[in-house]
Amino acid sequence: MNSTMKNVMTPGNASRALLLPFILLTVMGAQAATFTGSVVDINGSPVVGAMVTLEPSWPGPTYVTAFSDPDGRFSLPDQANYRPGSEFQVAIRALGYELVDSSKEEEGGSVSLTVIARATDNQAASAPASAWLQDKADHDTTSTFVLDCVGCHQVPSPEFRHYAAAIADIPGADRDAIRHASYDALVKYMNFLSAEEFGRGPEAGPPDASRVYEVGDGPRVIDYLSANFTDRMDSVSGYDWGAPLAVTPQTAIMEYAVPRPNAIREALLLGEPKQLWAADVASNAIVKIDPESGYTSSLEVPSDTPVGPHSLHRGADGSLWVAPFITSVVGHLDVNDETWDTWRMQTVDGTPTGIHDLSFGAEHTLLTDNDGLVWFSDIVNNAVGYLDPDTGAIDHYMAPPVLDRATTGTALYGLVMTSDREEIWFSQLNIGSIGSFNVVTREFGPSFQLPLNSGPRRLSISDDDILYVPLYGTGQLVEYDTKTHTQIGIYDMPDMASAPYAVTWDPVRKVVWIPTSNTDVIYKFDPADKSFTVLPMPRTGAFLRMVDIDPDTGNLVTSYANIVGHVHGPRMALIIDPGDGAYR
Amino acid sequence: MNFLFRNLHIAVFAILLLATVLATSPLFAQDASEGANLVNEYRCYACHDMDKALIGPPYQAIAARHAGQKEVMEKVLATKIILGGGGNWGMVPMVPNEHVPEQDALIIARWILALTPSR
Repeated sequence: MNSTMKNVMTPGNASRALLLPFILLTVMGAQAATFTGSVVDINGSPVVGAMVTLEPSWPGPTYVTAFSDPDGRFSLPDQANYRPGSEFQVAIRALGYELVDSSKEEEGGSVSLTVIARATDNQAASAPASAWLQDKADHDTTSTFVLDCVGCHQVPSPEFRHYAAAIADIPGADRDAIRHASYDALVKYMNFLSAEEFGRGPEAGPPDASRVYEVGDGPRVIDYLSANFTDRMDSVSGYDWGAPLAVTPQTAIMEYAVPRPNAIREALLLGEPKQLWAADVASNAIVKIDPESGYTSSLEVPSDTPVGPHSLHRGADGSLWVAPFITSVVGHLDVNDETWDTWRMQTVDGTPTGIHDLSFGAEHTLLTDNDGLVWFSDIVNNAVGYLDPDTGAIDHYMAPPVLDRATTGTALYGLVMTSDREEIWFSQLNIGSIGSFNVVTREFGPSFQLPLNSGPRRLSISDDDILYVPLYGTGQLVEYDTKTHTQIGIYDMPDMASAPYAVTWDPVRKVVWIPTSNTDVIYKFDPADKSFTVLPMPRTGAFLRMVDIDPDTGNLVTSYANIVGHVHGPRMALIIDPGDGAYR
Repeated sequence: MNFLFRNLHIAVFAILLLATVLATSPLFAQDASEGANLVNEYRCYACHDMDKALIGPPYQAIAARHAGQKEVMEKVLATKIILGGGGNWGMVPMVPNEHVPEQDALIIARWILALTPSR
């Protein structure tokens, strides 16, 4: 099949406005520089665990970040593009600190920075969105609210906080009425944008406002907002990530900004040399980023209808599988010669499928069954099904009812396969249920239920067939043994408003990585002692979705997956070296 | 990464930059259709319609209210598009749109104020 390739753009470092307050410095030397230094507070004491972010000159990663150690010392990873005569931006993120000043000493190619930070009680500039949800006493309604709203964007975002201030500025005595009317308007506006985003399709135009303003969840969201966000939100204090840092002096975060209008959903490292392949859910394209230079180009998924590449899976042979957001086109890309196979998927009665995931195995690659069939979850039809990539044959199996819960709109979502390749496990996001299906007997098997507002999303399975389930709404992690059908445990996330979106079993480190959508961090769970540690990202608005692990280096690959056009946070693909040497 | 390829990218970037400069020049700002396009691009239609009230007031009603003070209101309206707030049309403030560049907000404001109210 043919493939088209177009060079789309630009140096990576095109989005300076997204960085936190920064200091500009110029490196004078005659050779490529190395950056080390320390972060100190206004009294000269070390600031520990601060993220120090440098914007190198193009070409290269858009930003590189290292963490300060217990002495406040940091060492930025070497990049070939620290070129002499270049200007660099330096920024920091440390909870409860703000950047004040920096000084620089330069000798040969060595640049030593002293970054001065000031402690602040008001953490508004450094804390994640979830910091504002910490004092909400009613966890149950907060969980429902997170599930209703954080599915598409962080809450409270800067825009929302500014709106709360605008409400507070409206004159009038009846504050309850003003607040309720204002949040009613805000929810209608959000419902409109949501209808537009999820209604994207071949002939879609703007939705009819009168039909989409009012949706079922609206009143409870308005009530929650009116009751819990009663004043301006200019400050927040006392927040921490809730877990010790999972970083070392060698931990390095490389961020690659993707020029608009691309909307990066997920990303993987594939090919030789390794390239970042990122799903652009706003188009039909897969964006390819060269990690060394930061150059981006894009490949179209061949299709005469909108696709919106969403879920990416690494094939066992190093190829790329693409599942769609909009229509039912599944793509398979040979990343070396850049040729595609695609399948247009329909149910037997002609209904389009809504494929969400293909089945992940313990290596976080696509695991087919023993007959080579590719199993998928169908978010539209409450079904699982298979594709035979050799013949193009597909079939569907509708999931059975669960207790007294809904049978439509269940959002059958995440999908994994057991190591014997005979059983798949799936989550149903909107009815808090986990189920299984035997791909040999073609019968549904054991299931277990969680609260309706728990929000189970993308699943992972260990090489011992232990299932991990992130609960987006209630902010918990479930550990379940698929061999004995017993729940090993359910654990509160360190920040229960963090909206854990996915889990990824790490087959070498024997841990679970948990990216969050509302807290700008990836938590690490150790099944041996059930402990959590945290790997924070260097910027706010980091709406994280999937994490993949490069099997060769153990580097994590993830993305800031803010929805294009509607959410104004960063859109980047990331390579993260946890700095633990685990894969050496 | 070879030298030629690197320079090709610089050239492409320069052309894109030039296109951006042209597109935002005053010459284009005069074009009324540009205002209508921006209203779509920024999804103003989520809250505003030409002649009927949705979440916010109709464009024509805004134009009618400020018919006698177009020069003053151009900048005021552009500022309101970006910062939101208000209470001018009831107790509900407009959402902020801080991602809209001032240049674009001015084009939209001019477009609104130039509308002729329907009868």
